[in-house]
Amino acid sequence: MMNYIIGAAVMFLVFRGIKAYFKHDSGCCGSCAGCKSACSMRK
Amino acid sequence: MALSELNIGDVKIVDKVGADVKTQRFLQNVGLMPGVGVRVVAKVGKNMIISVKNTRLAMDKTLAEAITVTEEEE
Amino acid sequence: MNVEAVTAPGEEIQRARIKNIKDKKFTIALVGNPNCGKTTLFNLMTKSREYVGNWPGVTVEKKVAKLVGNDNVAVVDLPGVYSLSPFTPDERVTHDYIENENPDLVLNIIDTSLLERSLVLTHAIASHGVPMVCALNMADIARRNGIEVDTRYLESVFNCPFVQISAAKEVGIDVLLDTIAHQLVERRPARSVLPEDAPMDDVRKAVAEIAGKSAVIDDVDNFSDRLDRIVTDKWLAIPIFFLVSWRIYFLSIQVVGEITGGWAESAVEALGTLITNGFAAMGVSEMLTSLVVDGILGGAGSVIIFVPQLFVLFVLLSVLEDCGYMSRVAFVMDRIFRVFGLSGKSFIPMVVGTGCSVPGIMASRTIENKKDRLMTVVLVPFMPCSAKLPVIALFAGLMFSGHSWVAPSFYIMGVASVILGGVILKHTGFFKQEPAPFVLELSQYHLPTVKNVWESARQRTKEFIKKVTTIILAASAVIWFLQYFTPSLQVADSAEYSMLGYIGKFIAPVFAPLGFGNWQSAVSILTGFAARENVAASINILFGSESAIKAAFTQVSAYAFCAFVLLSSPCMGAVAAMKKEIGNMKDTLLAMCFQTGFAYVIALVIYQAGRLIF
Repeated sequence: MMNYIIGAAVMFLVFRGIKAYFKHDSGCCGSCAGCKSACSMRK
Repeated sequence: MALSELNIGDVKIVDKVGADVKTQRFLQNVGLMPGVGVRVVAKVGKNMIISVKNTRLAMDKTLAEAITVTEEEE
Repeated sequence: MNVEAVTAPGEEIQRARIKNIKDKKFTIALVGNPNCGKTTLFNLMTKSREYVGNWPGVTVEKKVAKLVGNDNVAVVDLPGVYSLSPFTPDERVTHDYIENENPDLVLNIIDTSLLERSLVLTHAIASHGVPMVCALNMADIARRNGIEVDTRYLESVFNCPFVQISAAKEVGIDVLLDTIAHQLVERRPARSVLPEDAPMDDVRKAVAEIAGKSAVIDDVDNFSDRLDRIVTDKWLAIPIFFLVSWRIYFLSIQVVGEITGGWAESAVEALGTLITNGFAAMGVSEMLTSLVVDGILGGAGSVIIFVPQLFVLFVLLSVLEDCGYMSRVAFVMDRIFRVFGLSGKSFIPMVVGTGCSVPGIMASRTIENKKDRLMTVVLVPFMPCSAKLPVIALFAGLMFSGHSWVAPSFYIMGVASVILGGVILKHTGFFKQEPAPFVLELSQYHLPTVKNVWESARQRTKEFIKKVTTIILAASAVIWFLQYFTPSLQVADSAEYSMLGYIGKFIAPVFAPLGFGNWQSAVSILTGFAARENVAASINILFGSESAIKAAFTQVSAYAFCAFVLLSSPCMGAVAAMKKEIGNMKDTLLAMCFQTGFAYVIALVIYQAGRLIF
């Protein structure tokens, strides 16, 4: 019984990871301060 | 004479800006154009940091050589 | 000249009057020069967490949010522009918005220290006759530098209120909001001295006159200037920069690592034991236990222990980026980079890339020259990003303990590779071109705001943790699966005969000349494509123990391995960012081949030469 619970939990986490993998093309890494200083230098 | 020939502390008036259109426009936006006063803040070789209308601009020697300046008018 | 008193810091933001506007919906448009503090104010007014900075590039983003305390008022943050003439997309968007969308009020944000150039935009907005309120931002800084502004005069010229504020210090905001509320009701149209279609030269002249009458700005040496002369000094500049970067990376990786590394590892180990015992007690199968403990915990767990180091690194990088030193670095580096055919502007994306390649690649958008920009995009991934650190730290700790020079040496390798790679690319013909002239606006040095630094570091760390608990967790599970079962889905006797083992053994020979021709290394490198942290995770899972790793590598081969991991084509996320900048898949693949080929050669040289010497 526990096997199924643990197994399901793992599957959920793994699918969450796979979903995140494909969404990684968000184009932003959250490190916006870097972009800010870069922006402050744009012509 | 060219901007690149000035020394730290010199204050002169901009005569001509010999750069491409995009660069000229940027410089205009921040205040550097013919008739405006500039002051040399720092110099490294022929690369310079100048102050124009309280804005500090860092530029390399190709641009510093392309900007000509004259004396302040009395 | 009369000066409006700047209200004392720490005031509560009362929005009494503006809260009372309930009968109608209003829109306020925020307009101002780049870096005038517009977004800071926008965040204050709307309690949003948008980042300070807009995306340079083709797509211009408009941010809209509701005003705090009153849902009927919408605030629109328009791109930073210097004027409304239709030369750039940003200007067109802003111009069209004011012209066509009829905002009820335009809030013009001005950097008080840069009054004259700011008023050019003010004049342009005023010439449209919209109701306007002007916020003289960073008024405290201007005051400190002896700049006194005659707001009454400005108000009479433009026929709109001028309010002194400091968005960063949250001072004067209540007065500003009160003024806005008043103006929303009164709707007094602004006035400009010249018509909308007057030639720019005339406008600039008129504005210069107005500015001259409103404030006396003495152009003399200030603290920033004196500091700049030191920081850009011919002899001191590079040593200063070296010192600064050394301290940053040494502090965050070495020092923090020593403090937290030990207990972080034990904590993960203890968790593993706990789960193993707990599962056994609950009757969970051995296979599932292995999946969770050996696979997920072994993989993702070996990476998550780096959170303290990365957090500190992000904090230090934020401080560096926020204080204004970076633009000086670009200026200083330009002299050197020019010798190799690059521009100093390429350097900042590289520094940003030491956090993560993705924003580093984005930061290359500030480089006007297309070929320079593309070259930077291809070279930025050579810098060690935070994802590559676990691998470097793993081997530095395991094979080179006591040699504190190893980890920092990879940063030097990164820079050297950028230069070498740049030289090579310049000779391929496509990039053969003089770099564009270098001109950069230097902002005044300022102490980074704790808020900004904290937010930035917090966000980046959060992203990292999210990455580990999703992508890396999933990848670890997949890796575990592939090394637990044979190709016929039976439990493998040992990982070597699992599916992963077969894949690895097929690829491994390629890496033999580099010193790590074993299947575990080959597979680990493959997993690095999803996220570079996976390499460290995989090495841990596949070798199983420190002694196994130590047996499979020599110091030279370990160094070569790290070099390959450092320089080869970056993770999927970075490749996606590269493709966005490069534009097409074919050239992106070419770039990846260049990077990986370069990595291969470097690792080859390191191993073969190192083998002979050591």
